[in-house]
Formats: sequence, C-alpha cells, structure tokens
Amino acid sequence: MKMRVFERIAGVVALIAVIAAWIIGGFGSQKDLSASLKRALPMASRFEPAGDGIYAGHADLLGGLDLVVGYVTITRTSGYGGPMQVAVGLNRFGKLAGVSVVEHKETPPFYNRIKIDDYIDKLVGKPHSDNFTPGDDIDAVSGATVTLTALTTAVRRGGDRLASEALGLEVSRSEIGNSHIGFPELVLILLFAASFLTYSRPLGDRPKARKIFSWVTRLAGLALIGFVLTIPLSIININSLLIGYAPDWGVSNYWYLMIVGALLPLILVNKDVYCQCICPFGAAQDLLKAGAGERKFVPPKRAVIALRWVQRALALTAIVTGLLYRNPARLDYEVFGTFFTLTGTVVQLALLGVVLIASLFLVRPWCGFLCPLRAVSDYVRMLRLWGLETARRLAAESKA
Amino acid sequence: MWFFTSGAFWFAEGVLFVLAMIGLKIRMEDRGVPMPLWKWIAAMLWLLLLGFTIAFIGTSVGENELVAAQKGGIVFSVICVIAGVVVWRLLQIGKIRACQELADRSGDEDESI
Repeated sequence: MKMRVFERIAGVVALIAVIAAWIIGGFGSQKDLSASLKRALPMASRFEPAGDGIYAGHADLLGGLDLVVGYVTITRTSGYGGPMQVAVGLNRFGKLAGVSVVEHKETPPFYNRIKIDDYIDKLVGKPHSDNFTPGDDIDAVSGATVTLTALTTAVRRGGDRLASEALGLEVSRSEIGNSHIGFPELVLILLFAASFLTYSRPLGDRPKARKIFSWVTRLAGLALIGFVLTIPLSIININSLLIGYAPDWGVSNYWYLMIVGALLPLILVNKDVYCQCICPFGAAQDLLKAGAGERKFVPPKRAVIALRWVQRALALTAIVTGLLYRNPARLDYEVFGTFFTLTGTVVQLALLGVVLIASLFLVRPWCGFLCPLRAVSDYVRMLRLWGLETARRLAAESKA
Repeated sequence: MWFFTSGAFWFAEGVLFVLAMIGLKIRMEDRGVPMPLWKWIAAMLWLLLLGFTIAFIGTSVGENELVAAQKGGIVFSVICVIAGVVVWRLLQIGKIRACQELADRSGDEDESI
C-alpha cells in the first residue's frame, strides 16, 4: 500500500516534469537556412523568395548580368525519430542541383549509415521526374530504411513542387504518400494477430501449444522486425508521440500500427503484447537464456526494486531530454540498434555485451532493469489501475 | 617482445593446447560425461573462436588500430562467452544418463554379491 502511494506520487511528479519539459522545449530557436540553400544550389550566389517556401537562386555573371540558375524549396517529411527538413534544389533544366538536410531527428548510428554526402552526390544530376525509390533506381541502405525513405520522399516532393510551380514543367506523377500497406506493415499486423492468439482461450488451455506458438511469434519478431526491417518499438516512438511528431498517414503507417498495437492492448486489457510476444530484443534475450539452460539466477528482491526505480529514472530523463530539445533521439541509450546493426560507440557495444552475457543467467535483464519501454508500460499500468479504482469508488459512492 | 616473435611462443602455445585437451578429457571422464566425436569438434571450434578473438585484438593493437581492437574485442569476446556457455551446456549432454548407468551397474554388482 505504501509503495503504491509512493508510485502514484512519483507518477504525478514525472507527469509535471514531462509537461514542464514540453512547454520549455517549445521555445526553440529558428534555424538559419542560408547555408542549406547554398548546399542545395551551389552555383547560386544569393537567394530571393519566389513564392511560398520557394527561393530563386541568382548568379552574378560577368558584366553585371544577373541570372536565375535554379530554385530551392524546403520540404518536410517524417523520419524514424521525427520530422526531417530537406532543402531540394533544381537547376533551370529540371535536374537535381543539390540536396541538403536542414534538420533531422534521427538516431545518429542509423543516420550515419546513409553516409549522407556520398548519397546526395549520387542523386545530383538526376531529372526531377525520377522516382528516387531506394532499391529501385537508387541504392538502398540496409538498417536505415525509414530515414532513407524520408530523404527520398522529400527529394521527390521538393523536385515535383519546384518543377510545377517554379519552372512550369509538367509533373505527371500522382501525389506520393497514398495510404498503403507494404511488407513492414503486413509483418507487424501478422505478428500482432499472432500475439493476440497466444493470449486467446483455445491456446490458453494447452500450455505446450501456447509455448510453441509463443516461441514461433518471438522468433519471427526477432528475424523480421529485428534483423530484416530493423525498426523495433523504441523510446524514440514514445517521444515522437509526446512531442507531437506524428508522421504522415500513408507514408509511415508502420509507426501508427506499432504505437496503437503496443499501447491499446495495454490500456484496454492490461496486456503488454509487444514486449511479451513481439519485441525482437526480448526474443534475443530469451534465446540466450534457453541456450544457456533453464537454471535461473534470481537477484535479491530489494536489488530488483532499486534497479526498477533506476530504470524509471533513466526513462524519465530520456523523455524529458527529448522534449526539452524537441529531438526524440536526443538521449537514446537503447541497445537494439547496436545489436541489430552492430554499429555504435564503444560504450554502446560494451553495454550491449554486458546485457547479452547477463541474459545467459537472468531472465530478460534488459527488459527488467534498463529498457525505458518497460518503465513506460509500468506507468500506463499504474494510471490504468488508478483510473479504474477511482471509477469504482465513484460508482460505489453514487450508489450509496 | 622476442618471446612472441620467436618459435618459443608457438612451442608454449602447443604445450598449453595439449594440456588443455588432456585436462578436458580427464575432467569429463571423472564426471562421467561421455565425449563422442561431435563434442570434441564443438570444443575445438570454440577454442578456434577463442584463438581468433585473442589474435584479432592482438593484431589490431599491433597495427595501432585501437578502435578496431576495442570494438572488435568487445563483439568477439561477447560472442566467445556466449558460445562458451552454450558449448559447455552441450558438453554436459549425457551426463545424468552416464551417472545413472554407473549407479545401476554398481547396484547389479551388489545384488550378484
């Protein structure tokens, strides 16, 4: 009872901290666009507004002649961590003159995988009418699919806009971003459906079948969400939701499916289906534990409680920092990315190593003591219980 | 440094390798764990991985590639530890049955007496 009261007080304090960070973070500074415009249209020496969000690039020629060499526009799309602003430049012949990422909220190891300058060099000179589809007419980069899609979507949109509005060229392509369900969305839907089946009544009566089904779902999550798609649920998604960086519906259906699929069962029926059945890193830890044998090391209860509070404090710090800097990935200490792509700093690799070795002796040490999503799910559960208790009390009082 | 560049190092490594293998054989026999060919192959492969990990770190440091030594060292060491635990568990297969058979056999001998 004492612990429950303490949890609720801590919950209210956390809520106040989050709201304060959200308000303070709103007073952000405006970005200077001049450097980005210059990178998007290098041959221009100065820029002048030429319409809503469109800049005309001028070059001073010999003899004092002034020539418009192209146009630049700033396009906003949704990346993995939040909005991405990209400056797209077209020359007078409708060919891509340059691209510059003005601002992004991506996790550095994933963003760095693209090697942005080299990638942009490959795009320059292509006609605006190209599709810029990763894996089709331009190179794909594994492990950075969402970021790359955001970049190429921005290039496509910006190029089309400049071609039609500034250069008066015909744009035959239909609007990009129509609602679609692709391979990632299909995988997620099937995995959530399989997870709900794990909790269903027919399997509930058969523990052996349920165990096998649960393993199949977890291993599918590990292989598909972890290693193939590399887009597991992360604190970045929660931060994006809190900041209000909802991506465009249609372009990032995966994001919506993931958020709704993970949070809705937790709120409605108190079932953490994502963590239990889908989370690829959870499955990796389970696999290691199974490989090392079923003997469990159970840490002392007091140590578990202390570590759980450290976990919650870390999660709150990550959320508050993300809100303050308006960057969901500002304090991302999760080791999923490092595990699935094997890229990261020495500290991230060392932390990952500790977690993986601990997984041989403990049941899901990352989930139990470090994962910020566990802290978020604990918080949602606490609010749910509090709400239910209040509702029951009010109902009882009204009856009396 | 001369030790690592001389033949004495390889001689010492060979001696240690043989001692480790004999030690493994004696320990397994003492504990009543059968050691068929596939277990020896698994143990050898793990030893190869351990050697590779040490060689990777040593070579990277020798080439002054400290970041590679750190990152690669962490990755391969973790893989080595995990593989070691799994291989050790595999080596234990058959242990209980072997002990049980031994107990049954001694029981039979007691009855015959």
